[in-house]
Amino acid sequence: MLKEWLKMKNMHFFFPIATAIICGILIVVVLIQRALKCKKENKPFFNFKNYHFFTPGYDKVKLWGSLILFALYIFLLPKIHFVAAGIIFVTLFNILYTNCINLEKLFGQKNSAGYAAPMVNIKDLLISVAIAVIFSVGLWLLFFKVFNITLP
Amino acid sequence: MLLNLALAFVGVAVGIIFGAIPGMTATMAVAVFLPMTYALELIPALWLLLGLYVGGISGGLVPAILINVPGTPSSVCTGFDGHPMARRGEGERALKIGITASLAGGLISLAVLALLTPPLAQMAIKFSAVEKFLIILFAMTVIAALSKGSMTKGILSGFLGVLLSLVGELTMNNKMRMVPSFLKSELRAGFQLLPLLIGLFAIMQMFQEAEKGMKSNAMDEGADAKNAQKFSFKDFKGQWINIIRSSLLGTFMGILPGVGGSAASLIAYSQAKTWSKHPELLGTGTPEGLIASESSNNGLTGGALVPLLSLGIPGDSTTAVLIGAFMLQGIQVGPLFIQQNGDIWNQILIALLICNFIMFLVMFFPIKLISKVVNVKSARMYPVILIMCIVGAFATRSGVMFDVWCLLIFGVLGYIMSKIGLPTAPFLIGFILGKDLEKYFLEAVRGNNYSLTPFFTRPIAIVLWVLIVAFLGYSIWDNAKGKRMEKAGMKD
Repeated sequence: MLKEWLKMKNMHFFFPIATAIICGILIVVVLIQRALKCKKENKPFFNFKNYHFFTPGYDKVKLWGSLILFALYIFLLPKIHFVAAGIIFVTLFNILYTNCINLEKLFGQKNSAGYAAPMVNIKDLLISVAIAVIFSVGLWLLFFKVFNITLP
Repeated sequence: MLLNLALAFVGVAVGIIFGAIPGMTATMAVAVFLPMTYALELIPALWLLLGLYVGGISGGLVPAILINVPGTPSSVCTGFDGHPMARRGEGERALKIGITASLAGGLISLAVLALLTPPLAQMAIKFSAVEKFLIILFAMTVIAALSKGSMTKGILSGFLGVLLSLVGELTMNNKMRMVPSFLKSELRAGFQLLPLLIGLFAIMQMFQEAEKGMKSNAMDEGADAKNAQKFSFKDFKGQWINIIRSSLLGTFMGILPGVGGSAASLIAYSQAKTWSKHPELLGTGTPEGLIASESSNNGLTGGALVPLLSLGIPGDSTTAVLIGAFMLQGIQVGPLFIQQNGDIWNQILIALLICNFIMFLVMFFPIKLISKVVNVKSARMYPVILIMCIVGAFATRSGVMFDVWCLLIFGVLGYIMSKIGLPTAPFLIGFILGKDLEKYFLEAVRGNNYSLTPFFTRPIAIVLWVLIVAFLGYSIWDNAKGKRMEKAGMKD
């Protein structure tokens, strides 16, 4: 049996199938453990009403903004130069994370203090751009120019 | 001599930079500088390359401790205890403990290299695929130790990691498995470790912080830096056995060709937990785990040179590149190398010794400044980490954009796993060890005429089985004890 499985033409499937079977067994064990725990604590097995995938009151703009910006960054990276993409996206990430452009006001929501903050904090914005320029150019100089490592 | 010292200094400093940037490794640092050694003679070239090797391995502890992103695969366990220390304001202490443990590991492995190279190399070649398979299996038992509280989920996560590591081509019969047809060229060699590691740790954390609004820094809000413990060499009190054991484990794992630094660090960490007087504290920010991880991964440096210099077989990927340096200079490494090249052998030992001390000096004193990174606001730090991660992921295979997409894919996967309660550390360990587990199992079975008997009859294999069973038994007992204590605490 083992010999049949491990013949040259089949051997590449032996370990993945064995591992998948172990994973399947473990998933069943996890479910049984959960069922037993729920029975013991008198709770329903599926409890969608009280289930929250995201933390209640999570920062939607920052989380989804991060995901979209990151995907855009990777998508545009080979199309524009590493330094240009770095400057644009590191600045945008800084703006997103530091609120130096008031995104809450921009999207029509009140900020946590309940009043409208200035639309743009120039000092924070300049710091964001400076960080983006220094690190993008610095990494490009160090790795591409000095160490000759391929960059996007 | 002055030139050699200067080159060692440059090598160590650059190696530390490579090690400290997630995605960049010691192997990459040595590979980048290898062509430059054309212009140098063999001895200065060796000082430079050994400096890069020592620096590259050591630098990985910095991001592992400060931002919980292992700079190199061999510092995976460093963050388990180092980062919790940094979060409570003891980043400087954790870094200094890690650096000192690295020095100790480097020096112990150097002593082994100097004194025991020929007999150890002879012993290492007696380790067949059967024993290597069992060593990898032994390293995997750390998953059980790390999954305290939810062992089944931890083990499941580990096996999912193993399953993912099997994606791609099996080189033994050149056949692909689990690869969609549109990704055949990108996934021929499977998913790459570095993008997965960075995605699971750095990018996942970025999403978690974004969800919380990026309000914090890497230090816990309640942590008071003034009350944080300062570094003192007294931190090593009672740790000498841990240091010696972990360094020797690292050295021995380095001697075994193909086993790798991550396995060394994992085994040393799990052994530190087994023999600890307070195993429940490991993973919460105790110097013990940090010392085990760092002394073992630097112990690897001397160990990996043993088979290289005495048998001509590289112990790890970095020493495989080092062979290139010898070949460039027309020198053959192998059983007669030490006998015929006494001068070069002595220079290698001196260079390794000096490089370890340079590493200590270069890292130990400016660390106060570096440790301030934990005070930087997450909102400012993550965009910078992101661009470094992209550079590291892209450089993994010298320019495959798919590896950069993997950062995002594994970042999202890690985020989802954290939400459904599947721990990511066992997943990573499974991924790191999975391919070797398969390789050595298939080699062992095919080499023994499809019989499983040698797994249970070879003397070293029996010892390894005893260790595996004992350690698993201990982990299950420890897990049950933890649950009982938790219940008792809840009742109180």
